[in-house]
Amino acid sequence: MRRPAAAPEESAEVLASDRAADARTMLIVVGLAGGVLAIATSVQAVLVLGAHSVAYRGMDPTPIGDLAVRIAINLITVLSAVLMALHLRIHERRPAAWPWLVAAAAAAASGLRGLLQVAAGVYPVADASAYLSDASVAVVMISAVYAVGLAVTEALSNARLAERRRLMHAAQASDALASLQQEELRVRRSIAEQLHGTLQNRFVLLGAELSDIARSVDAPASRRIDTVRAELDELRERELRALSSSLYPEQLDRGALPALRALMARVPASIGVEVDFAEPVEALAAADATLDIARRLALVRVAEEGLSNALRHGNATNVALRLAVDDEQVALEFADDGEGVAPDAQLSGLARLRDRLRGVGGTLELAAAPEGGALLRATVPAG
Amino acid sequence: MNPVRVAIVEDQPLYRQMLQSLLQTVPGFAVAAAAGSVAEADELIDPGALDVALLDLHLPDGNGLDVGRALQRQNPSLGVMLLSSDDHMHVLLDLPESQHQRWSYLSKTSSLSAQALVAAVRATAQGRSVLDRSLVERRNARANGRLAALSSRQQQILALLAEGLTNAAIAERLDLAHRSVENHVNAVYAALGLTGSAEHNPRVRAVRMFLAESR
Repeated sequence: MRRPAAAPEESAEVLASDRAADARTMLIVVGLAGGVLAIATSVQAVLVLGAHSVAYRGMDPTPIGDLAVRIAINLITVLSAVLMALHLRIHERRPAAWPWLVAAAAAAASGLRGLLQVAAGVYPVADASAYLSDASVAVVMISAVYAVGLAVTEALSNARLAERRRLMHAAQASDALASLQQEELRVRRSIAEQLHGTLQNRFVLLGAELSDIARSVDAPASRRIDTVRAELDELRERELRALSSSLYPEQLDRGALPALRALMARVPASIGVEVDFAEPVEALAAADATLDIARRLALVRVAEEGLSNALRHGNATNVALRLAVDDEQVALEFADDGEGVAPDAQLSGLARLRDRLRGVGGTLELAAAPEGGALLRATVPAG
Repeated sequence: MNPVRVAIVEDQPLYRQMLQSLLQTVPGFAVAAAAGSVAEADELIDPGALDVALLDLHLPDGNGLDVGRALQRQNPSLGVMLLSSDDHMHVLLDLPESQHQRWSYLSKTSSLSAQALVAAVRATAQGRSVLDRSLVERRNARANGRLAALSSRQQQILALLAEGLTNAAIAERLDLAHRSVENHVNAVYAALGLTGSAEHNPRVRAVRMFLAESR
């Protein structure tokens, strides 16, 4: 088919294979339709209409012999039509040129057919009008066969291009999504860095300054300053830190293991915490080092989800985080001993999380924990 | 006596200068290098000519823990002191077993007090691990853990071990006889399951348990 301008990025191999596919379609459709017509019209002429061409040559009029001659002539005609279609590459030209090319090729094929008919003596040599009327019927039929061939080839080619464009758009969309996510991570990281580094340090220095001032004033004022300072410290350590790590988990740049440990370290002291990193920890750390930020983040978000479910809804008193690795994947389990998850619970958070895991080639499932509560089990591919 | 040679890696210029001038004014200390980033540290610091590395935990191009690990691999007798604005002491749990010793952790607030800073750097140079007193005191044993099972006296003793105090210093701090402190310390080890013959350094292990099971 005509190369659409919409797909200029296709490689020469793809273009060549498209051309071959189109030519194949054209060959098959024209060959098959033409072949069927060739045989059907011969049969019709000899058996139904009772034409006896051989009679004109003064031989025994046997229908079988006559039929064979007519079929052979028609099949040669079809073959020539196919060869012309492929040689002229009609299906690759502009549709506006199709009628002329088709008419010319059909005329040429039926001309050849007429010559063969004369040679075989299908009609009396003197009866030129018989040859001409047969030839004009043949031109129409061959043109019709070409038209069917062109229509089918065009339809298949369009379908192929549409599918390719759909795939290309899907790939572009997923690329765009990935780069958006990366950009988001970069911005989050930089804001978290600012909060955690610069802002925190300013707070510390201001606190020290306040303490200095408190020493140089009278006792009641000093007490008030100390109170303000304590509040500033509280603000810095709790709020600022929580804000920073919700934007970008602590220690994520160093790995999933340090980030998960940092997360578990923040669990309130009233909750029992078991952190079980499979031995040897070196193997786990080596696998961790192969994970990109997106996969690390996915693992940390699973633990965060498990933790927030356990604390918010599950009335858990103990949580456990287990991490293991094999050649193919890093597996994380987060279990609690709370109430578990109702089977009909609306788990939109979980669905979002599962999407996130799927996005990095991982899995997520929710099960009942041996401890009695919920068990989140996630994997991400290693390497 | 040779001075304690210290390198400082801290990205905030004001902070770095304060640490530098604090240590330079104290007799017996020498600031060998002061850097503002991991890259600068790689360039300026010679771990072989150093006793203690004073490292901000959060650096613009990396992490004090990783810098300290690399320096200590090159000089195993190097002490590392991490500085942070608050309690990220759990990062010490990421250290591999070969690097469990000679790691201290000081909050930036404490580091601004010359007394606390100098005492901690000196102890670290001597091969001990010092965790910030104010951070340790604010920690509580986590529910359902081994720490929670200790008596309050034992928890107090363990906290002092975490602060890097020797038995003698603990005896002084709690106004107890040296012998009695030893008994308490051994009881803590026993309660934490650290009395087997395989335990080469129960003190180090006990402090790591303290970090893992308190908040």
